[in-house]
Amino acid sequence: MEQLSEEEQQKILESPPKGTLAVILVYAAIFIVTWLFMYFGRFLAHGPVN
Amino acid sequence: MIHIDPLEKTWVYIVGLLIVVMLGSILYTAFANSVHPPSNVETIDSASLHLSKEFAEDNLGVKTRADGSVTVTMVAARYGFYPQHIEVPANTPIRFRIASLDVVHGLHIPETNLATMVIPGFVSEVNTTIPKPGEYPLFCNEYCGLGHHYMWSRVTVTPNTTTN
Amino acid sequence: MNNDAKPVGLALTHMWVAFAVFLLAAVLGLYQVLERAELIPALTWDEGYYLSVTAHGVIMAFVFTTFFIVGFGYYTAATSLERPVWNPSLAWAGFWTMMLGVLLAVYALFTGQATVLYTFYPPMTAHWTFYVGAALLIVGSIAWIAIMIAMTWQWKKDNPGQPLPLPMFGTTINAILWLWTLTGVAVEVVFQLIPLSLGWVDTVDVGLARSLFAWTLHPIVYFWLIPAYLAFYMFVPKAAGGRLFSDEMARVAFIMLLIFGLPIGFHHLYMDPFQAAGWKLLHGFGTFMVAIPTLITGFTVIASLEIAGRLRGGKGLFGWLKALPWNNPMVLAAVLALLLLTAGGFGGMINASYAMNAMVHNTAWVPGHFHLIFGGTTVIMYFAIAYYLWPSLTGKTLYSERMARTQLWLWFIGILVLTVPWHVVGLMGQPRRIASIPYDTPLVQAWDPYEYGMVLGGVIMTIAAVLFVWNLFMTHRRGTETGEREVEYAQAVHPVLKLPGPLNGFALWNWILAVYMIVDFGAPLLQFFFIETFDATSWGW
Repeated sequence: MEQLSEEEQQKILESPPKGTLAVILVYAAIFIVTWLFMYFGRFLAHGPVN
Repeated sequence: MIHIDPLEKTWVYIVGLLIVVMLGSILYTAFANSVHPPSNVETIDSASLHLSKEFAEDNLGVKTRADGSVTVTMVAARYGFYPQHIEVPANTPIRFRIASLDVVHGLHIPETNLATMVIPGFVSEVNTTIPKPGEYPLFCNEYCGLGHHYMWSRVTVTPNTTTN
Repeated sequence: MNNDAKPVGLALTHMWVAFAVFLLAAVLGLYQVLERAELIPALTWDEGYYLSVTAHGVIMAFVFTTFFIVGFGYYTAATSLERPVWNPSLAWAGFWTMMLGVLLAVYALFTGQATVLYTFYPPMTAHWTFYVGAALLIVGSIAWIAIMIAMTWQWKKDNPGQPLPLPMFGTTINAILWLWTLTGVAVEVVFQLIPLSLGWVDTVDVGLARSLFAWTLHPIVYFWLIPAYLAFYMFVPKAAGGRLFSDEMARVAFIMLLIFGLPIGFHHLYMDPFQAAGWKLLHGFGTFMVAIPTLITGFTVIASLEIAGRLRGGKGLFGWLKALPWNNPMVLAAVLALLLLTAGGFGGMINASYAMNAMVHNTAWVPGHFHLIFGGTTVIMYFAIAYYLWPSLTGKTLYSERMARTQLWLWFIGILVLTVPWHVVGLMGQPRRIASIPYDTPLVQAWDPYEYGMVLGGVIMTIAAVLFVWNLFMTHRRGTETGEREVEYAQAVHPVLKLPGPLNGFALWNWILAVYMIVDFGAPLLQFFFIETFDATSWGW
């Protein structure tokens, strides 16, 4: 591991967390698709209810 | 105000969108298709259930109405659901009414939306249809005593020959 | 801060009670999963099973958690504010009150006089010592609440205009949340269950009791979760070699957990017949809102990890993940906890989805869900907090960092092996809270392989539980003396020098919460005093 200069360190601290957004957007996509499947594909397929 | 990173702000908007989609689906089906959890608030005296007109023993079971829909009247009591075997047609509106003779019970027919709690002092009512014919168990799913795991009954769902 | 002023005795005593009962309850859990799988006929014992479920639930949900959170709170308050605990005598009085409560409840439980499960729904009625024990446990914890609020108030008075350090901001939010939360069950226990169990009244309003319990039942999970989130924010970025991505967003998350975590208990009553659909829908709306602070926390914590990974040389969109110091128990625990949170959080949203609750209510999906989110995410972070603080608490190095890593991985794998099958059989319709599977219907044969899988999960978790306690115990006996007692808190990327009042205080949020609680609980609770209800008599089991 090479040592980072002060400047490089500051750059990392200030830069937007693109990796985080990428990971969390994948999660959000899986989340909403699975929820819609559970709600419309499983739950409502079992019949109307109130 | 406060400093919020633009990407984190983007994420908050996306979260908002997810919630709008989910709540939107729920609200739409609630108001357009009347999809609700069973919420008919109706009191009854569980201690004298057997003396009531509706839950007297000879009134329990399945009745077919003029329009083809059915009403099911049952009682939950340790450790069974009575009558212990009922028969209903598939794809037919069922009005399911049940009361407890003793403690809190829960009931659920797997693979269907026939599910409710049964609380002493209240009548539970569920309106639903069961899409697929077959032999189903009706399980008690709330701890009601040491025999809870023995508490279940049977439901036969017959093919509906009149409508599709 | 002077080492003598650190509340080591208070913290260690509370935490050792927590971990000792945790180990006992873990063994009970193993017994339960074995008994239900019916692999060893000699273990079959209905009374024993339901007694175990009650004890396991009461200990894990009420005793283990409260003692850990209170002890952790005292240590965090003192070390983050750099002042001694206010009124230590009150703190010890609180401890002994809680202990007395636990002893009473344990007496009732293990003599078979309180086999009513950790939810103790009336009209099933336990021996009065069980309810008095519960009341004392709750009352004892109020000492902690008072001390947290007092210390915050004093610090703010001594440091006007200064931002309250984030660790204490979150801890005080949790103390306030707990005070609001415990009120529901306290009213139920004191005004309904104790009189009923003593025979002072003959009947109980079951709908009112369940509604009061539901008041507590949801926000209590945030009482448990907030310490885990505190570790995410104040320890993890430092342990990973980075900085906290946003101090302000952390405060926003804690505030949202307080406001939206409380007035939403009716999502536990979706299937109940004594509350109308409108109230259930209102609580459901709030339940979706409370997902937001968790999703914000996920972003902030992962972004903090990204900074740490990039500072360690990670490049590209995902290189920072690999570059993280995975051999650091706090970092490892955080990643494992976040992974479990993705699944556990999703399951929670399914439960929250109003009418869809019918598909999962009281099925095996429910204990699968809360073992995943609580036994998984939350408890893994409790382990991590213990490993992180033990050197400061004992003045010694942790007995074995390698054992800590192994233990965390074992627990993570065990939780998945236990809870994934549990969710699946729940979707197949298996009821919860069953001592065995005697149903004579072909449907249930499909459940068997999942039951056996769960036994394996239970075994792995029990081993992990033993390793955890062993490591802490051996640190006392054989750890190397260092005299190092500092607790290392993370620094923010943008240190807050000044904050708007609402992010640095609690009055506004308490007012908003009061209004929200009146709206969400006022009429639904008052209705029981106006409609004619037929109260139920006591029943045994």
